[in-house]
Amino acid sequence: MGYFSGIMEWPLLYTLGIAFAIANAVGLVVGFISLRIEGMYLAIITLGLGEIMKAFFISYEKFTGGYSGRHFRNFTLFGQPVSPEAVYLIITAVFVLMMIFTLNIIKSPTGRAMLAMKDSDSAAQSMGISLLKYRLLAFIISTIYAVLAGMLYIMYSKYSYAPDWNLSYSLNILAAVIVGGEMSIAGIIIGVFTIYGLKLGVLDYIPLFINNQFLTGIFTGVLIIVIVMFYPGGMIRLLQTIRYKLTSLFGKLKRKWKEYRYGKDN
Amino acid sequence: MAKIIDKLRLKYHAEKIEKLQAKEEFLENYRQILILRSEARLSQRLSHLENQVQEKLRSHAIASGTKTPDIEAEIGGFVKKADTRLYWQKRALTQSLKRLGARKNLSETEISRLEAEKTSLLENQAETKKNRYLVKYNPVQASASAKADYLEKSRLAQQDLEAKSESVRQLAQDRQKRINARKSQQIEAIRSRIARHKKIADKISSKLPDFGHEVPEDVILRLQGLTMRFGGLVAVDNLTFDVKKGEIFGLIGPNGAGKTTVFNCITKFYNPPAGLMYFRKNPVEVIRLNDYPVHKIIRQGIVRTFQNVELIWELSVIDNLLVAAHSLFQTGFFGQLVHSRKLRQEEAVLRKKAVNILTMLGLLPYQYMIPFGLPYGILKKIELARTLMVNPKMIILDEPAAGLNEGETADLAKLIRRIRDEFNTTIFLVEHDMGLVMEVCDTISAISFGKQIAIGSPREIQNNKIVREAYLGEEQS
Repeated sequence: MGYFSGIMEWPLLYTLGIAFAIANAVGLVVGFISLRIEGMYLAIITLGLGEIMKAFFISYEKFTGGYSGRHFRNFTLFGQPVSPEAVYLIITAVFVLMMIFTLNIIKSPTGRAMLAMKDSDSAAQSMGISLLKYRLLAFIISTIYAVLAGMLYIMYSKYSYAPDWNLSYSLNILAAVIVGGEMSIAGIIIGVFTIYGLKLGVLDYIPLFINNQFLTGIFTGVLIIVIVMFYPGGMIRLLQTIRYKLTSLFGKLKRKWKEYRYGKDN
Repeated sequence: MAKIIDKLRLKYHAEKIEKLQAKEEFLENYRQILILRSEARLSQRLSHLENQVQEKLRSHAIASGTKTPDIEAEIGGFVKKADTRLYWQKRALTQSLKRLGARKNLSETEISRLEAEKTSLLENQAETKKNRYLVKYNPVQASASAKADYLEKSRLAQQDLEAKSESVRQLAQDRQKRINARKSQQIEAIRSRIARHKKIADKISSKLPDFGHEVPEDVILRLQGLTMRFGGLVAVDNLTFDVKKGEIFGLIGPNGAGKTTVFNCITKFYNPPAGLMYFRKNPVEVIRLNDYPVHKIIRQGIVRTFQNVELIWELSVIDNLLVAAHSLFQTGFFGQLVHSRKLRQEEAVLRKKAVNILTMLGLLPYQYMIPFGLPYGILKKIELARTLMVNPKMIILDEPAAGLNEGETADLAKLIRRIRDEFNTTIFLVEHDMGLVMEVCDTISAISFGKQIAIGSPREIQNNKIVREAYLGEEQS
């Protein structure tokens, strides 16, 4: 959602501030609307909102270029143009920083309050957690992530094509979360690498997938079905299970070797 | 208009006072933690100094053949290591000989001969190895001069050590004094600020109508004509009673009598359409609970538990307790984002408090466990522990004994009394288990279909005819 503010050809920091302001305003409004809605219906509303925004961007040609997309000049940061190499550095830095912030939030009273809210509204309220405040905060935090992601994307690709930001894009992100494992930062990183990295790194070199683009989507779908059916915790749980199994296997082998070499214990 | 402004001002000052009081408590607790830390550090440094001296004297001790405890331990370690090595080598030898014998069809005597041969070889090896170490630590010609030298040196080192540790102790004491002085200065400043705010608040509140004079001094909670309707159903009908400070008050009644609804009204989960609820927040201040939203009730000093346990299943037990202490955290969002120093200090204080409470309830072994799957009695206790995190004035227990067996219920009765005495609170409970209610409560109110039918001591309630009728049905005559 936040990417469109990058369109204005101003210095980066101004743009970032304006983008935050606009996106937070939108997030707050949606947050207020969705206060009484829970679970799946909330997801439907947010996805629908994404579609509305897409339609808005397509029809607002002056800024976004509509169906022809729009190119951007190099960005400037502190008066210096940002080189493509610097963009990678910035992306990595922001990524690491956001990971640290997220971990901090999870471990702080805010994170615990949000978890409490998820498990039991009434318990959370009776412990002095204001549902309104923390729901809005959740929306604001997620819009901040979206704004940063959008800015970094524009900095990296210097091209934006509004119809790209459709439902399947949102669903791909959701798929990454499900495949990787919810409630785990490492899991989500793994998920993103499987969903996007596989496409960019492996599938795009296989002729079958190059000729039939829709197969990539099918591949993702099958992956999700397999993960949800057999490993509901996602890939991160799968990795944990594998690690556990490997350590127990090594323990067994070691025991066997000892028995062979030194004989049975009495 | 002026009234509204006064009210707002009063509210502002009340909030300020609350925050400052919380800060005062935090500082007080943090001072203790700091002092504990400095003491731990002191003992660590002292032992470090001693180790240093031992290290220095080691070579002299070895040269003079003196055996200090750590040199002895070292020798013992070498010997043990050589022995274990020998043991495993022997076992490997027997196994390999067994395999060899099976392969080449050797006779028993042949094998035992080979084994004896190899074993003596291994033993010799181990012996030489051991001797090498023993010779090193047992010099044959430990001269008298070396011994005297060692004794002299160790005496000097001992003196040095004493002087040094004295200075370290002095430093630690100075540090503790400094901490105490600084913290008490801060606390003093906060107290003066509280006093200032209180003065202003008193001035304003003297102009405003006060609920204080209506509620007697020893009453902590007063319900006046509380009524709650759900559509056409009147769940609570014109209920009036007082809960006295420091007592255990029981609310009983048949199923569907509206007991839990009363609780939900007090904690503002429901907003009662009629009736007033007064709560004595502190000895001088009485507030009207009707004016507060549900998440601010805990800050007034009322905490509740739930009929069916409502814990956070994804957090460990101690984190559950920290969630309960949510209203005590004062660090802002950005402080939490970077885990600022203040947040870490607050966490340290509250964690210590949580550990103390868990120790008191005997839940310490469960500290880092996820509550999911723990026995029901433990879960109930965790909920109870959660209420204690915020120094409550009144604890509301919704069927604390539901689902517990007899032994657990008896424990619970003791525990409730103990909590009342140690934490100086009032306890207000709803319960079906008549044994528990009659044993533990000081006053009991019986309600039926939202109406109060009797109030009094357990004896009076037991002998009350109307209560019996409500529970057992009308007597046939």
